[in-house]
Amino acid sequence: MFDSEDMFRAFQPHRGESIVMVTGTSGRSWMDVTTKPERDLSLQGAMGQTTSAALGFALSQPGERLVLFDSEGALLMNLGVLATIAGKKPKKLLPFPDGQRVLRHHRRTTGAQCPRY
Amino acid sequence: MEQQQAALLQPETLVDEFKKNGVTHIVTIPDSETNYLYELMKEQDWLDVIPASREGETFAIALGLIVGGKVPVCVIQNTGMMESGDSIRGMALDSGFPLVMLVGYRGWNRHGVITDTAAKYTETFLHAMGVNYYLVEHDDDALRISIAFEEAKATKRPVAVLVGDEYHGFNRI
Repeated sequence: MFDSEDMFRAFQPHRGESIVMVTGTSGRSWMDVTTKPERDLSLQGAMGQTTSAALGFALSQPGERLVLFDSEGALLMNLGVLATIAGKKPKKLLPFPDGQRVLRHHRRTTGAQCPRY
Repeated sequence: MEQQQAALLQPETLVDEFKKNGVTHIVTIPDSETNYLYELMKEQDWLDVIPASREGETFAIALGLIVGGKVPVCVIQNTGMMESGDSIRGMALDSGFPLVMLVGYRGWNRHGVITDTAAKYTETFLHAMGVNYYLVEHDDDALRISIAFEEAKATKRPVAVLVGDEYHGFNRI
């Protein structure tokens, strides 16, 4: 099992000047890992919509590289956003769907995703 | 009849209002009933149109644009607005930013009994969410759109503009 905190620690040395967005339960551990909190952005507020908010920000600031960590459960709630992103083609938006262990956390609260063990 | 047609809200009037109020992006769900408006918006070099997959997305995309310094408007229909309740709560109301949403008022009329439940529940929904709104039907009502922009800026809240005549002049194909 790949823990989200391990994933964040692996990512941290490579973030450069990227703006980083995290969301949901898994995103909390990013706060313990980040070394540039002034370059972190939180636009969560409705599960499934963070990827859409990231798209909006990426379109408004095309010169900034934006890295988004979203849970796969959240992405499943808003799969249409992938078509929206494909249509607008933001050049510097990098979405990372997070999965498996994170899914278990979210499954407790939403019940909408397929269980995997 | 010609006089009646001339008095109806024209898509060009909406676009003029967008320009006057500094709108930079339209986040919308393209549909057959508003195809002329969609094509007209796409023709404007000062306006970027973002077609979304469902209405709930539009509020989140708008929030990202606002945080990035842009001025978006969500153009949707009342049915989709009701389906977007949690997005309006989490991404528009809770965020504390100004946002105007232009909402097609499907089923609304002032001349008879309203039977379409999409129209019956539209204003009830907006009341429940605490979102103020303005009804526009004719070109003479266009000033109310600017009022909505001013109110959104002053209150840092979403404000709705209900388009009560969405099926006349918006579809010309």
